[in-house]
Amino acid sequence: MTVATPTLSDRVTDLRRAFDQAFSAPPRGAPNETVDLLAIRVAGDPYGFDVRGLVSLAPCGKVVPLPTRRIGLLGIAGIRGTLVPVYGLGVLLGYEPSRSPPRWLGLAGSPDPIALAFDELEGFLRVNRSDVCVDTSRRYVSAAVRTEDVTRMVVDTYGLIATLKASAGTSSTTKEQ
Amino acid sequence: MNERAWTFGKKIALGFGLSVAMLLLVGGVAYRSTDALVENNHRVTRSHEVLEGVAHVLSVMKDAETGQRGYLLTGNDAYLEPYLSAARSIAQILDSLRALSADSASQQARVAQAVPFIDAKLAELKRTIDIRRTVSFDAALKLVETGEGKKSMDDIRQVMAAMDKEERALLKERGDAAETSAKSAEATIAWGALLALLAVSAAGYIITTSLNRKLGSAVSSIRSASAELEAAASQQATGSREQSSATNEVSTTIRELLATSKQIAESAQRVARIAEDTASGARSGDATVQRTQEAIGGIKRQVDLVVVHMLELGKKSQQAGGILEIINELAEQTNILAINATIEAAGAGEAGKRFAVVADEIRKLADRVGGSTKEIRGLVEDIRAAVNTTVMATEVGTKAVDAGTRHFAEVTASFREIAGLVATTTDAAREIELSTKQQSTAVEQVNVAISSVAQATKESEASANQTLQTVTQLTGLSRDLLQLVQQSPV
Repeated sequence: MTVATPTLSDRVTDLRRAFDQAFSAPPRGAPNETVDLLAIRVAGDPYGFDVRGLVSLAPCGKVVPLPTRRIGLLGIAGIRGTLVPVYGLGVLLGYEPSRSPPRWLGLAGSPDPIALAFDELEGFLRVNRSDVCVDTSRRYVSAAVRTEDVTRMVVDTYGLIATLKASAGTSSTTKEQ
Repeated sequence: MNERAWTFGKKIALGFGLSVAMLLLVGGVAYRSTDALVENNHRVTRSHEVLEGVAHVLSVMKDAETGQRGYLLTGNDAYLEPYLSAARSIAQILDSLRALSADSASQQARVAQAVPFIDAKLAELKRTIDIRRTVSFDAALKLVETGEGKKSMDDIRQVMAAMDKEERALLKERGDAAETSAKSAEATIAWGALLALLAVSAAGYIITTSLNRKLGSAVSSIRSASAELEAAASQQATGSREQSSATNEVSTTIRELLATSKQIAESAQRVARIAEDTASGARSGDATVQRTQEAIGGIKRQVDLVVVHMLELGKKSQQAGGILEIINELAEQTNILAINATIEAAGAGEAGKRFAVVADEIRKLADRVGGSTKEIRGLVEDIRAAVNTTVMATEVGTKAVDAGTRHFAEVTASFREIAGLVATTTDAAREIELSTKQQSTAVEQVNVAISSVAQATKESEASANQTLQTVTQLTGLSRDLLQLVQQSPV
């Protein structure tokens, strides 16, 4: 049995129909029953950011390295006219430093956000809250989400940013003293 | 002189020469003795004839006197016949006597001495006869009584008696000489014959002994040589039969070769005809190939045009890909903005919920655009891949067309070369046909020569058989000769 190969015009028609249906469908249920995640991969492992802990997402531009001994600090970068420190998320999660430069920056912690650099952005992910379970067995990980065929770790953005800022504050206090 | 160096001919010639010399010597001596004997006999005979002549003279003279007396007594002329006969023959008798006694001067002198006495006697007789006829008996008697006639007769008798005496002495002497000559000749012949017999016997003994010795060994050698020659002749006969058989086989092979040569000539002729047809076909094929080459040139130009268009289409698809990249980037930026809007809405709490719905719609739109862009990119990539494949296939086709063009050019050249080769093949086939015909002629000549050789071989075989038969006879003859020579069976 052979399957007829769709022609180009058929493909275009399907795309248009799907596009139109996407906007014609009514809004889904209350967002309190779901959790919005930003699906990423760190050193090939699936992770996720809770969008509520992020300030913004930006492509990783030029990162200027700094003479520092802080673990994971890659340097500083300019994001929409603001200089932010850039930390390697992989190093902070316990991975080896990546040889290739990061592609994405997730900014968290207002009013002075810190940029967490990672390699791969998989996209926006909305999961049911019931699928999220607390998991604090690893450092800077707050929960785990079972999606389809993988278990994705949710980065503890708040704890991570607090730790980094605390470390930065200790360092600045030491300098002032 | 070395005896061994002498040949049998020399020995036999020497033996016969010695014998002939002895015979000649004996014959010569015997001839001389016989000649002397004959001469003596001749002289004896002549002496007897002289004696007869002397007696004849006396007899004739007595007859003349008798006739004269008869006529005187009778006066009958018939009684004159003895006288007339004597008067007519006395001269001849005297000449004969003179000739018979020519070797004796004394006898010649006595004949000459007797002639006047005879003439005187005949004259006295004639006178008395004439007187008797003309005068009378008495007158004639008176004349007779004068004694003139008697005296003449006595003188004649005296001379004749002297001749007779001397001749008898000569006769006795010549008889003795003849007897001596006869004895000498007899002795000479007897002794000469004996010597010749001894010489011939000696020569015969020597020659026979030598012949027995040498001829025996020679016959033995001949016998052994005959045996070897017999073996050789037998071998030659066998070889001739084998050669005859081989010649027959060669002749058969040559006939087959001749038939094969004729078949080759016919095949070469057919090849020449086929080559001519092939040359015609090659020329026709050359024209067809040229037309095909022109058609391929047109195809090549069309394919080049298709390649140009396809390359243009590739460029267009690349431009579309570039535009699609821009759209994709815009979709990503939109997605990022939508995510950031969602983040902002989440950070706004309850006030941002409606904005979150809009941001969610925008994000979905961006996702859709991104997905559609990926889809379109895939389609464009497919188009580009198809174009590239088409271009590559077209280039391959162009190369194939080029290769085909070159191949057709090569085919054209090949057809021309084939035409040339076919022409060469035609010439070669004709040459082969001609050469094969010449070869057939030569083979026929060889066949004739082989037939002659076979005939000669048969004749040689017959000659060898004849030689074998002759050698067998020669062997038998040598055996017989050896038996004859050695008087013993071999």
